[in-house]
Amino acid sequence: MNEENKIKLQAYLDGELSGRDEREISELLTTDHQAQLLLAELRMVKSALHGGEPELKLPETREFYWSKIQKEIERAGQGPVSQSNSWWKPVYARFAGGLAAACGVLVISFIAFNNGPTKYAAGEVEGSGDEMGVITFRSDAERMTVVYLFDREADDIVDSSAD
Amino acid sequence: MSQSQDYTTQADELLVKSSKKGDMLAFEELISRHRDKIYARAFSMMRNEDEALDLSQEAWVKAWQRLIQFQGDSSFATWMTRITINLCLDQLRKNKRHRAESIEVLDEESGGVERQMPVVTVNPTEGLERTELRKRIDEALGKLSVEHRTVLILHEFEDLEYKEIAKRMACSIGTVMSRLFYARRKMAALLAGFKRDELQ
Repeated sequence: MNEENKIKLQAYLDGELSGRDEREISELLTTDHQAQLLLAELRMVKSALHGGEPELKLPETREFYWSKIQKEIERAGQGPVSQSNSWWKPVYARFAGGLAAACGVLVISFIAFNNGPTKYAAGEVEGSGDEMGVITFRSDAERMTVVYLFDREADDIVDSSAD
Repeated sequence: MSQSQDYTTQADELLVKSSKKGDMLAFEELISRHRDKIYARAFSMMRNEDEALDLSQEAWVKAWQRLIQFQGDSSFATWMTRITINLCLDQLRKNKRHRAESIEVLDEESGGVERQMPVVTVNPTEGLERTELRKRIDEALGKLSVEHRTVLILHEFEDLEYKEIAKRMACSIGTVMSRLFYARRKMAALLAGFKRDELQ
């Protein structure tokens, strides 16, 4: 059995194979003893992990742990109430990225049109920051520069809204 | 009866509702209920007590700040765990920048020694008490590489699909599949190894 089929065998176990691949692996399992053994091994690990997630106790008392969190919450000065009382904040948070990107495009287009073509025919630049990421794309042929701004913590936000 | 005593009998949903209104005592009760699970998840991923403690605290602070975004479509515990996992993944990425790419790391996707390992045919976990099984799994997880451990945790403990894991680990689905495959193979060998040691 080749490596590709071995990995497909695992996808079969996890229910992640499409119809045709699934039929192929089902067929393979009826004839290939090694495939049967490997599937049994993978199944054993899956089942062991499902029933055996390690359980740990936090090595700090409730009071001490909470006091550190409370201190940090108070230091940050941000909480659910301050956000919920201001109707414009969620709206601002939702559209801030788009607004910033639009402003970026306008500013860069303005500079580009006033300074004429740059020495770059087309280029892509990625900027980095802790919280906000920036990617710009410039095409002189199209006489256009596009700036994408994105929140690096967007995953958390997606999680929160799509929970 | 004091106010704090009342919280202990309330469901998570009610505590979340109160917390959203700024009730920190309700939030403290939520922490008290779920802190061990959140810490355990952070520890499973980081394998370092101090980092796990710091990240679990950070997760709670983030949760407080973003509580308004929690709509209750999943359980509060699931939502909290996802925040914790994202923080751990960020930290692991930062840590990775500081560690040199070794041959072992490069072998994660292609299999390395796991390609040569014979299939484990006897179930080494059969007949083990739950506590013993957990202990062995914890020890085995500690011996896996960061990439293998992370993919196993996300798939087996978090029940995430390949696509979702790929998104979170910022890699392709193919990479997730091969990492998961070799992680499981190594896990099988480690569990079988523990059994052999015991027999000897």
